[in-house]
Amino acid sequence: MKEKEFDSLIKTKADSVDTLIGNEFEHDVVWKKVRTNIPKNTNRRLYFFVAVVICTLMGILCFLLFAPNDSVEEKEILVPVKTKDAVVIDTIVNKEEEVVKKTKSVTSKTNDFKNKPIKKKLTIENNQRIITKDTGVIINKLIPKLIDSNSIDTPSKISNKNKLYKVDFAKITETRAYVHVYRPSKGIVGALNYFTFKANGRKIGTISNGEYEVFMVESGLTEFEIKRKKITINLEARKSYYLRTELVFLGKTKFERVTES
Amino acid sequence: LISNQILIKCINGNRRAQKKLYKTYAQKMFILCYRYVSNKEDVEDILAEGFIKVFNNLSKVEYRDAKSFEGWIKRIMVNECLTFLRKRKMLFYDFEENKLNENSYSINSDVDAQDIYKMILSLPIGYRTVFNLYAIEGYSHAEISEKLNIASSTSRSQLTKARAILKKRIVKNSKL
Repeated sequence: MKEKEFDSLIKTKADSVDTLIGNEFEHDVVWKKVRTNIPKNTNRRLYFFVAVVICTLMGILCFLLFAPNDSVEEKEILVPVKTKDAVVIDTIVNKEEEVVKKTKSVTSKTNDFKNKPIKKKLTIENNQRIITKDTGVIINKLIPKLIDSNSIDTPSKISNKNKLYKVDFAKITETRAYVHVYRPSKGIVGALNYFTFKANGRKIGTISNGEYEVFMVESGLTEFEIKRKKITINLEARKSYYLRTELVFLGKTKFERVTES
Repeated sequence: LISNQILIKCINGNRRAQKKLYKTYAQKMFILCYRYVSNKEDVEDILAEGFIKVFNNLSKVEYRDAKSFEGWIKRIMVNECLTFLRKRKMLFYDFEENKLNENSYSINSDVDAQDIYKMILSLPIGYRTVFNLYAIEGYSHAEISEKLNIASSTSRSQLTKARAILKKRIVKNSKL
């Protein structure tokens, strides 16, 4: 056998070996050594991170620009004053005034038409300006923790949970009437059925079982609606109106105007 | 097979592509390096060094086809092996073997590849290196003498001795 033939035979045989029995190669061990010393595209992760940040910012921007902002529209027409946003103070306030309270939790007690107390808990934040209002017999112990609109000076900080808006209270009261809406409690009957309260076709709040709500509504001819029952009142500024609603039977609703007493 | 696109990804630092390239050639290169340095741990070190060089020089290589690319990786690995042997001063010690009449044997081509591989491994390092470079990798004596910093005549003599030993062992093996 010639040298070249011999060499070629050996080369063919050596090249055809694809595994070394007893000396199996551990890929991962070597790969770990290799990968720590070779270039890696870090930009890809950076680009991804930047893209995420940009998308998030765009999302926030879009939300701020295009999100439906009912409350802003609403505040121009109606400013809801809910009993749950009211607190009891020790002294009965007989006129509009501003009170500065320190942070504390207060249980509010409001008297409904049947003198049943409704207990609500809420917190008054530090230096929050509270505008008090004597509203007569029914809610003479309530301080509506209001209200935010477009006034610049007050308040410094407002609860995020309940969307309250700054409002120039004195200015508003000049043109608005107080509409008191009451739904007597019937225990668990209708407890989960929230009534939507509308004024001129616009939703201004919901009323659940045993709840008492006070709304400041722009004066003029206004149509109130609860569960398709409508009452139209020609509201006069600074006057109070009382509405009563209740679940009668099998989803039938009663909605009527009542007197203060 | 490794394509040009995978190479571009590897150059751009894509980890998946890099691992694919590594996995494609790692086993082959392991067997190649093991023919030079018959120690698993050393071979793994050599492979790691070799692949680091491969990845760091990918942008310099001009990709024509898979075969030529594999040839490029092989050259890097062989060079790494030779560097390793040189560092360890393992190359070339004199090995005396009885003179053989090379032309007096005929070798059966049915000899098992694993056996041949083992026979190559059993050669003294100097002989084995020259034999590997000349007979398997296809380098000329001039190139070998340059790579190993030896005289061309030394390369020839080492090769002749290596062949003689291999032939003898192959014949012995086939007789068994």
